[in-house]
Amino acid sequence: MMAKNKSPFKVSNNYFEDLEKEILAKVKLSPKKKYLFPSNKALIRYAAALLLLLSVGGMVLLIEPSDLSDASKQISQSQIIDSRSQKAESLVIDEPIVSSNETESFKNEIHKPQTQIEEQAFQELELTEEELDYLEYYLEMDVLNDYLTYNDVNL
Amino acid sequence: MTDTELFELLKDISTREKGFTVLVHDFKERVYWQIRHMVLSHEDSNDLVQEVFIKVFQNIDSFKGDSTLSTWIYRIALNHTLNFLSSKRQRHRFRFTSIEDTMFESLKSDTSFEADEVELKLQKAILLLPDKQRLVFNLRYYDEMPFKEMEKILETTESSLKATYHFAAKKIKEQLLKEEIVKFDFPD
Repeated sequence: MMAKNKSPFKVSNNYFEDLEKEILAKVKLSPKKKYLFPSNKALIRYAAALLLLLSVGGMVLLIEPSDLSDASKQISQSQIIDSRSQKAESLVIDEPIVSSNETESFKNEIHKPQTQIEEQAFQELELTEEELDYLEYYLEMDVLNDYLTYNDVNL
Repeated sequence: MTDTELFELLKDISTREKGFTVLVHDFKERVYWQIRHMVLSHEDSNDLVQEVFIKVFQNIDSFKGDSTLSTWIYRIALNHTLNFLSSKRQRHRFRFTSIEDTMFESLKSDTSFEADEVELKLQKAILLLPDKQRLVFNLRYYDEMPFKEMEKILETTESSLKATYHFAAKKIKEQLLKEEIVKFDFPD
């Protein structure tokens, strides 16, 4: 027996009758598949739901202890901050020593020399490296402020 | 018996066995030839066709009637065949000869393959095609399956199947030309 069209493949004459019998015999012997879930989609849905539950549960267990420790840390930190701020409040100076307008006029006085001699002197004013370092030290460390405050220097 | 009548028989457990006997009787030959053109060996085809029908019987409840029964069966058969070829290729990958060469050599010595020299060279050229291209070519060339039907089985567009078939036919013609076979016509 040949295939439908131009096929060079052949089988014996009774092959298909025998094949049919063989298939039917095998089918009777083979147990029918019993699925716990009606379809693959249902299985995937159940698996996804279970996985989600497990992951949520796992996350809760993992996060809870660290949350507690975080909370206790936050409490202790806030206590430290409170005590520090109380101390700081006592040291805060409400009014600035020099107002912004005053500093502005002071700057103008320095940067705008009124006479030619003063201008020349201002231009000739050059600080040595040591003096610059010294000045920098005063500015950085707020030592100048302290010095002026504690020595009652009026600018 | 129509597809719908057969489906009704298969759905009912009391008539399922009778329905399945009809199903095997109606579809066995076509399923066998589809498999045979792909795997070439009669022994492999014989095993595969039995496995396909067992699979059909075991999964009959999952068939919802979205497509025709024949489309569903051919789809199972072709997928099963492609899986078989894929696993055969996997098993064969560390050998010195290609799987196509091995298949062709065993075809030459197969007593159930009666072909002249041209037919033998045609088989060699078909074997050089990728599996899915070979499948489309075989369904069209040997089984004369309309592209519309093929579209449902392979779940691809008709235009894509036509393009695949013509591309496969072109490649085969080129291969036959190399073998000095000048005249060979394929149906559209």
